[in-house]
Amino acid sequence: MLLEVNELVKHFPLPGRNRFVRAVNGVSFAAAPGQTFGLVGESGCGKSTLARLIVRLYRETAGTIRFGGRDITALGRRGLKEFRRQAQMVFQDPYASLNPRMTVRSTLIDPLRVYRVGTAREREKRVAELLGLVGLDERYGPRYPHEFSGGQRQRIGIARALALNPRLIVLDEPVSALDVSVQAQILNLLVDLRERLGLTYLFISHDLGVVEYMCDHIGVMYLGCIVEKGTREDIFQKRRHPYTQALLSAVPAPGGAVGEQIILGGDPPSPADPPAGCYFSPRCPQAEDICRREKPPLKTLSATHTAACHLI
Amino acid sequence: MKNNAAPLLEIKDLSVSFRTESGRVSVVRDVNLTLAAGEIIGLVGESGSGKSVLSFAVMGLLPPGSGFIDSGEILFAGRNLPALSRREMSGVRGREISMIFQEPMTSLNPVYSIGAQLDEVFVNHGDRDRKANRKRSIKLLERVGIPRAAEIARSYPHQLSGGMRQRVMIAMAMALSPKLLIADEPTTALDVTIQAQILRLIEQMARENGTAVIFISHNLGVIAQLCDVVAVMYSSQIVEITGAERLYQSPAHPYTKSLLECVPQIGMSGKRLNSIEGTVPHPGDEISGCRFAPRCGEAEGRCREQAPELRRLAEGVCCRCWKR
Ligand SMILES: Nc1ncnc2c1ncn2[C@@H]1O[C@H](COP(=O)(O)OP(=O)(O)O)[C@@H](O)[C@H]1O
Ligand SMILES: Nc1ncnc2c1ncn2[C@@H]1O[C@H](COP(=O)(O)OP(=O)(O)O)[C@@H](O)[C@H]1O
Ligand SMILES: [Mg+2]
Ligand SMILES: [Mg+2]
Repeated sequence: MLLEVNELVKHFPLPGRNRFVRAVNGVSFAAAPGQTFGLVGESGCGKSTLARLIVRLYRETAGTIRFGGRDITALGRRGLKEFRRQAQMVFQDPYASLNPRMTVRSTLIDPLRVYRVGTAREREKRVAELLGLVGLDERYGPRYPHEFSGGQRQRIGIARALALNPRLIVLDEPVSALDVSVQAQILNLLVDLRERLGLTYLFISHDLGVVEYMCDHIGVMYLGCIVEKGTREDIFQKRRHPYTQALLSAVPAPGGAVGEQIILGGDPPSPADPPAGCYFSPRCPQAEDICRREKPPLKTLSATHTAACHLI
Repeated sequence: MKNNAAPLLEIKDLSVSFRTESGRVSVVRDVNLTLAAGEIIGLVGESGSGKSVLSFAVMGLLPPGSGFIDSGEILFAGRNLPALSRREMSGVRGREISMIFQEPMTSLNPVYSIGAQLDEVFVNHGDRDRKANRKRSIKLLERVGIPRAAEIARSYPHQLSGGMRQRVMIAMAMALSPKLLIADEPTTALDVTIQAQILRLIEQMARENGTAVIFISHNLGVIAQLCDVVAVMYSSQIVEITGAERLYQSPAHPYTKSLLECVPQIGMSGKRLNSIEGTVPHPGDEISGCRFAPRCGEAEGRCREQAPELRRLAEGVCCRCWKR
């Protein structure tokens, strides 16, 4: 496994004594080299926090993260710098994630300089190479972000993430802000790059169609927890958790008679004040007494498939 | 949804332009649409295709001094809306046409409680009994699936989630029981499980109250599920009007077809997605032929020279393409 996340927890303190936003609540999963692990779930379920924990933008409250077998939660400054070279992130908003005062060229050269990669000439060559990799014209180097469309900016964001030849790229909703025709271009690019460069992706999205398209293994998150985890087939064909079932049934589909959908009531509860027992129980159409009392154990359904539900 | 009675809304040859620094820009070109009571029409297209501007034109909300209706008619229950006075139009907006947006916060007043804003709708209708109004407001909040409605009525917009605010907007629209509801990307910012709730409410308004709905979205799945009829917009024009059930089965226009192939469908992993080469022309670009021709795999000589009209291909199917 390239990435192993074990019982990871992140609580953000709130004003007042002993009050926390339980953004990530004991998450475990692993991603093998060359594979794409997908995280899917509704907004606020902790996907971005998890991404930021993994690339070390946040410190965990508890738990471990292993990268190439090594626990990266205990790294010192030098170890961290080396880790960041190998694990990069691409953000959702291609408008906010690029520095408006930096040309494309300086955006791409910056990480090379910080890590003292190559000579000045080699760096220029690398910039041209990166632009080529993401399907942008070499001549775009001297231009500024505002001169580009959303899709082009996302290509620049991807080129920046590739600059140092990382092994892992964490993609947090990389196509959510894009129109579908542009989204298709970026997804195709990501698939190509994964194959050409042997990359491992942690791919985050709230769009189930996109997740199914991109990911080999998938974790379904609800209120800071992974409630079901498995291969693409486990999740899309053999899903067992009532939340996964409701989530998939809510995806609008042509001719999908609204009558057959499982429509959940209300909103997810606040992660500052999670309900007792199973966090999904207040919205779960199948909940029984035990669900409201006890936290469900993670059950193993097959070698690849697990789900946390009393009723399975 | 066949209806031989006079339609509720009939948009005829509507063109809208904006005055900008670089001159007049036509952002809606020759739009024709009809809508019957209780019918849900979906307006789908990528960003910038003119969906919101079209709906603003219907609402009489184009920015004065910069947005203009260049030609065409918007016949609503027999009246040509652009010909109404400002006062008359504001009456139509208050009672007969309602609109909900992607971000409900922009249409809710942050300093009044949810209940007060709902009560106001009844007051405007001449009902002055405060207690009775509040009761009706709470009933409405319950009807749109808001838990603890009496408590929520006392809270302020910022205290609610996006999904709750959108439900409040729908409650407000229901209070008016409009003839026409225009919903501009009302679920785009919401999660799928919340979206499913909102879609069901909009469907109820149409089926139970006979409200006609123009539902704007860039999400083809949402449109296909909810709507009776779909109008596809590309670069300021409607390029196809078809039945929702035909949209995925047999799209007529090459753009519609390509757009459908861009969306990853469940079961597609491993296959390459179609992507439409090139970019959408700027709405101001005058193109001699079909506006999609520069990106169309089927385009030939005539497509680049002569602009196609929206033509009727079959019962309920219109398409703007020389090759169909
Ligand atoms: N820096 C922070 N401080 C306090 N709370 C936060 C912070 N970042 C995220 N949260 C909260 O943690 C929860 C999970 O957020 P996030 O990870 O952004 O979810 P997602 O990406 O799945 O939408 C939310 O309730 C959010 O409000
Ligand atoms: N107030 C305005 N002034 C000038 N141009 C505008 C204005 N509002 C919208 N436009 C332009 O009209 C076109 C259509 O916009 P819009 O209807 O908002 O697209 P959509 O809703 O389909 O994303 C776009 O090119 C947009 O830039
Ligand atoms: Mg997020
Ligand atoms: Mg719009």
